[in-house]
Amino acid sequence: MPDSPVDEAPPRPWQKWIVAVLGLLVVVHSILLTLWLAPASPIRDLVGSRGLASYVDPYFEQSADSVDPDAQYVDESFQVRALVQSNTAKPKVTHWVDLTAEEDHRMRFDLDPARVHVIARRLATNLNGVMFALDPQQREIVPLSKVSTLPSKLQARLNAAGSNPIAVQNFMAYSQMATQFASLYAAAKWNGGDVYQVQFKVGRRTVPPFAKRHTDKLADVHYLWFAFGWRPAFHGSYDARSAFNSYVNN
Amino acid sequence: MIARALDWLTLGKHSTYGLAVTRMILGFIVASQLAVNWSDRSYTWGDGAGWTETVRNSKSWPAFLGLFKQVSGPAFDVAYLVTIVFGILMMIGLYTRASTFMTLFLWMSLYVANPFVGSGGDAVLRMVMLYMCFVDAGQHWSVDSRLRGRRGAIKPLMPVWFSATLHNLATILIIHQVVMVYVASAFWKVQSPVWKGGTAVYYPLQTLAYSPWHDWLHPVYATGPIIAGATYTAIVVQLFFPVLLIYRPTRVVALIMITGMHLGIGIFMGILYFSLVMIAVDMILVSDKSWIRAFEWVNSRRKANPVDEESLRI
Repeated sequence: MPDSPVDEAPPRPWQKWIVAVLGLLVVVHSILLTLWLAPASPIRDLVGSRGLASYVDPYFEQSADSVDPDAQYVDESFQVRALVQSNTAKPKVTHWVDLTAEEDHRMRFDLDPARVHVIARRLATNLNGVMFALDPQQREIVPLSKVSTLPSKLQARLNAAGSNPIAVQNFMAYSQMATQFASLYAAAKWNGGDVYQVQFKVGRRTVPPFAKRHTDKLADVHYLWFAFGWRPAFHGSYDARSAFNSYVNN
Repeated sequence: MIARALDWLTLGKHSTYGLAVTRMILGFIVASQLAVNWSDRSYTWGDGAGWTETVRNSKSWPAFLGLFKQVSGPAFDVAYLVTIVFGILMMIGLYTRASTFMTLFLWMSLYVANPFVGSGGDAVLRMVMLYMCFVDAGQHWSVDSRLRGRRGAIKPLMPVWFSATLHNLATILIIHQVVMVYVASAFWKVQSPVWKGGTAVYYPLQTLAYSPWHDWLHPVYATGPIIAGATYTAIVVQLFFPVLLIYRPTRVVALIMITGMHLGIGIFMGILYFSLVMIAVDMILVSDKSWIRAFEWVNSRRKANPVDEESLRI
């Protein structure tokens, strides 16, 4: 019996066909979403990951990371420093600022933190991800890039050192994004001077095993760092700089 | 059997009370999330989010969701406030279907402006909200239902059998969504040695990203039986969730346990937003009979304690 009965005669045959087609669409849609989220299996392989992605992307996409428990066993750090000139003094390299630590401080005892407090950590996760996706020889090239190194030149060097153009392309995209973010952050942080260059590094460390919980603390574990070369500062629009100023100096 | 299924789909709308509760909580989540992020709105989604362009453009979102990317300054603030207003309208159930649709449209436009700050809760929210556009979530506990009571029902735009079919199929999709998240999550868990070893819950609680309480609760987190209990309970409840839903007594147990699990995740790991989204969707699984009984019980308590009722008014 329906929970909310409707005073209506049973549907006619043509109406039943419409209901049946709609029902079939729902079943197919449900199966595709289930396969997308499920771990690898012969059925999933039969449909193919690319075929599934073309259906779910972008609206119905759900990241496997949100259900993958292995994604949360590491602690990450994103740090920025800059070459800044204040007044007429010589340009000086600032100290490293740990943006993830700042975010953690702001999130302390906050059960529903503002979304802005996850940005540095997300950057760290993505940058670590793209670095681990590169070959070891390619990773050695990254910190050697200089201010004068054009992105296209760096990309060419990375491609020459490995055979993973998609990983290199992802690296370039996230690296460019992090450069823009670091530049806007640096301009807000050291707003008394002109920011000429920025550099950032990301770290990752793994939580010590549960068996050693009484002796080993995460705070004592060293980060595995990936440093990125110095980059020319990105200046951004006035509105973008104002938005960063408002957050960083609040 | 096919005839029964067709009757079930076409002769009436199901889970209307549960959907009303889900609607209220989801509307509250959208409005409150935006209120919480008000002071950092420009940095998070507005002019300050332009640095994410390289990566956000790699997703082929439809152009009509570009509203928040195209406005700035006061226009951005107005659009942001309008989103909050529609979230509230959805919560109270005024022009329910239209306000649900507008909330979805505006919320998604905001999400697309900076997917970088999105979370697992957003993925579930956007899918459930899409399905919510097809259900009659304003039939109970809404301003619409009060207005209907006063002025009488308005002639429906579409045939009742079709409206009921859309409502019921969308309800099935919402339930499928939540069940799929649990079962898929459980499948990933049982493949992982730390989950099978009963220690998985310990690890995220050690990271700074998921420990808003820092070292305050470390003695609890370091207690083996507590960690093992939480780890295995999560696997069992999620893995057997669809089976537990079939029989009423086990469904009650499953819903209590899954809600407790979400509250635990929200409070101890500091991701209350994600937890609330999941709790909101789980409310559909409480039968209409149970909601009516609960409502009647609350009403009878209020009538039995007129003094309390008076104090509530004050």
